[in-house]
Amino acid sequence: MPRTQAVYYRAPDGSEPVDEFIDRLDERKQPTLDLQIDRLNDRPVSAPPLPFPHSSQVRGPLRELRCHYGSELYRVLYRRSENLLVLLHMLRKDTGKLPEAEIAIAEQRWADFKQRMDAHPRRPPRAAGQDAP
Amino acid sequence: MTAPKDKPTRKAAAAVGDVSPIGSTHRVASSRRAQRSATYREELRRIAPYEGLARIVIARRQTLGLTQQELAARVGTSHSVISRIESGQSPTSVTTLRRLADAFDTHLVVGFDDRPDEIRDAELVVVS
Repeated sequence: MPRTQAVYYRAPDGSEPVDEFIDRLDERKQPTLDLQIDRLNDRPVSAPPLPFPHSSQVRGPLRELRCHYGSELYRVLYRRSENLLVLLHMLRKDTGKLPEAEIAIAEQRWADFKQRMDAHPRRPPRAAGQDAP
Repeated sequence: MTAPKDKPTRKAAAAVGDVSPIGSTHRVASSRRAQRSATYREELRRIAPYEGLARIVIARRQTLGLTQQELAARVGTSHSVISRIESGQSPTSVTTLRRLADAFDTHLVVGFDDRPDEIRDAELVVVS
């Protein structure tokens, strides 16, 4: 059975916003958040998503991974494309509700992802080889 | 901080407008961060066991279809204790582990692992 794989959305200019967000954080915080994001990996595609409060639905198929480092809250907005969980946007969350502008960023990136995928269908990265754990 | 190896290629591809929207895998990027920072590796090593336990508890709770509150009630503890265990960032007492095992209707296993460090470290990244 295919298993999920978390990948970063890559912008047309080659940048990967979620990767860059994590890279900018304090090195002591990075492993905690990396491991929490890694919880999205290796789940059977047909299995239910990570239970609340670790993930929840944002709007339609857009979901959020609810991460934290101590009392600092972070959100990773993602969508599934077959077995790939495409990490679209990551933010530090201070306010009560997820701001609409942040959701819009994720939705815009998904639209771009979809459009470029449809224009040039590509094979997802192999699970074996250099991606093998 | 050294630039990840594949960045120049990616930039070159961007110049000709042929960039895959599928970026690096999170696993590869995490290994890259671990490789370039000793602080990262130390911290990873410190929290890996807590993360391992968190994943086990989350998976068991999900299989039973329980909320964190419902699991807390079963264990006879507070919601915040379950929440803290599932956050994977702090230690849990053996007493609590034993009560968790009871709540999951199973037995707690405790042990030491004598395999060499390299093998254990390889597995720290993929605890589940």
